[in-house]
Amino acid sequence: MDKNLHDIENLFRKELEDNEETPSPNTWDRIDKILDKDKIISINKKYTRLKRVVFLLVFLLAGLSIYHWNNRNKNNPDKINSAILKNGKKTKNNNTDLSSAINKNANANNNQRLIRKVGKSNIDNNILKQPNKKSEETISSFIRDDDTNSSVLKSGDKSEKTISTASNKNLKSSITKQGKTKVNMLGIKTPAQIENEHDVVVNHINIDSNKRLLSLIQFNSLSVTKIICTTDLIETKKILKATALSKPSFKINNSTNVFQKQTTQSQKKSQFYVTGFFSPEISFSRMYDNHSGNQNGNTRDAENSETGTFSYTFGALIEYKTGRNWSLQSGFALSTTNRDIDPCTIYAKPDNTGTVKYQINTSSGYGYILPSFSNNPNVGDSIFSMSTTNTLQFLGIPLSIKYSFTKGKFTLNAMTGISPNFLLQGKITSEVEKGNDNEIETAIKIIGLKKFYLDGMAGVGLDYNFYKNLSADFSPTFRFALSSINNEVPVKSFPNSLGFSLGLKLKL
Amino acid sequence: MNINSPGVVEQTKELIQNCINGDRYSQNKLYEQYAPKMFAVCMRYSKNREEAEDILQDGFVQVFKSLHNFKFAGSFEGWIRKTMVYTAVANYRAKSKMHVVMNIAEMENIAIINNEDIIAKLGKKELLNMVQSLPPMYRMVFNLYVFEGLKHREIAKELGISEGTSKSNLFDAKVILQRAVVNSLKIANQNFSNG
Repeated sequence: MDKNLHDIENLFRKELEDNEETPSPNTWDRIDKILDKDKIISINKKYTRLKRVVFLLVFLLAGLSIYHWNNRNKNNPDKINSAILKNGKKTKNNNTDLSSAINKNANANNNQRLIRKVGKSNIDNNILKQPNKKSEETISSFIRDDDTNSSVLKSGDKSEKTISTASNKNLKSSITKQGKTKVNMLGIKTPAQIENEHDVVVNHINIDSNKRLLSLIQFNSLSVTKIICTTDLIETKKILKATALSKPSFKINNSTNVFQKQTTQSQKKSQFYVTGFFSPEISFSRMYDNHSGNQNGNTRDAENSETGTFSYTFGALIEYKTGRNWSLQSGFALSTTNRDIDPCTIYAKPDNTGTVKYQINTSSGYGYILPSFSNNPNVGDSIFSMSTTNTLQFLGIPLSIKYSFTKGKFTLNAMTGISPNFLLQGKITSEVEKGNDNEIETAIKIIGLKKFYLDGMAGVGLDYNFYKNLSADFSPTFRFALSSINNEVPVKSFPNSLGFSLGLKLKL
Repeated sequence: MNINSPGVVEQTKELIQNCINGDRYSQNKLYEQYAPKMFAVCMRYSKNREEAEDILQDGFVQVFKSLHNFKFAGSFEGWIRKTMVYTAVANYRAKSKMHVVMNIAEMENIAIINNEDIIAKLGKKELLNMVQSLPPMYRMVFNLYVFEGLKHREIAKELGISEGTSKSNLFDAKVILQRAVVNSLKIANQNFSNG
């Protein structure tokens, strides 16, 4: 019986061992599709980390943009005034600020009349006073008597009240205050006293480079008043849109006040820029034999067996303009460098604690792994490492000086600097052979790797200015290690890289 | 053509390298070259042609994925074959819960076969059908033992069964095959005498 069964075995082996069958033609098509799909998945996986980084960068930039936008809005006179107007409406009969003081309902025709009269007049000064204490504080801080006789505008404590004061140029002014919505307005040189309600809306305030506040005030959409304000002077010019009238102006000394403070704060022009960037890099290393190391290995082996693979750096930089063309730049940069090591046989050696493990040598140092299928090796035992990747992550604090000049929408720049780099993580990942199913082992400590190294950098860049405050930046940058990343290992390694940085730059 | 000649080895190396680099034309070429032999292997491990094609497909995808692991140390065909077998085993293990175990005790007593010449009259296709007709577990054990040369200890580890079960399954598989061969021979003889 057993022999017969054995014959069966031989029969089948003999007959079917070298048998050949033709699969259906669509089998390859299915394989082809799967390979395409896998390729896409593989690319997706490969770029998952990249996507995360980009997402983080976009998130960071969005946050900065929102912050910047908010700041801008806070300083935007339109917003300030609208806020003030709202506030003014809430506080009846109590004008607590400039806008509520000047933003009042008025009659369009009267306003036009007023403007015409202003256009014909030679107004030198006028003084506005507010009906109650708060508004008086605000307005008086905004407009004040000068040394000439000026028209003084006063209003009653509660409701409509008109006060006119003749200047030495026979200037009369009037002001009408009717509760929260009435206007306290300009004194105007006219034979007849003008008593009108004027609707004044502050449309826009700009601050120019000479630390003056420029404000456009619109009167019933018919005319625009331009106010130029310095710390001690307010000059108002009327520019009539609807009618081609002359531009009367008056100057009022200003005293310290809330408005002035706001103005002074706003007058300061920002010199700061922030750049978020991502830089794919080509990495390579300079290596030198280090005879002080007591481990095996040499530069030639390391150079032959290692290849730089996809590496990248991302981060954010703050740039401070020190002059028209020069600026200083600093920030943070997180760099990840990957180097692949060719398949090789690795041998078991005792580590620092005396435990025998398999040692993997790299150009940055060496690490130990202990695969689960061979967790008790003897010294000299070997396993085959199919592929090994050495990954290093550093946090760099670059400090650089930059020269730039602008041509139209483009800004060209050149930079150079240094960067101290602090080790965040160093690991060696190895796929070791275990029958058909290989095992992936990671050495999370690289012996010989220094915690800190210094590198220099130089590069050129091109910015494209989308808007006044936003530009895209492309900067090829060469980084070269000034000190080695390791010590007391057979090979001293100086990592270099050529990065192609892409970023967005915001003016703060 | 000697597959071990330097020229062929170099060509194969180049083909493999191109496949590693993702060259689809080379992958197709490699598939065309090895698919017939590998499909025959897959047929032995499956109950029908469709299942064999599924294994072949998964096996070749696995081959292309792990081609960079091939060290050019041994036979490339052997390496592919090994991959196919492991794919078949993985496929079996994934479906093993659905398999029904046949009760061999209920089967008829087997006839004694002692004439291989007669057996040899049976076609390869018929023999293959017999293997495919085996219960999945028996088929796996039989294939791994007879064609791959694995020991019962290794088969047990691969299939997640005990060594004793492996031995028992192999015995049962051979009994079933023997009976099938006898039956086929009877039919063949009848046809021969009738014809």
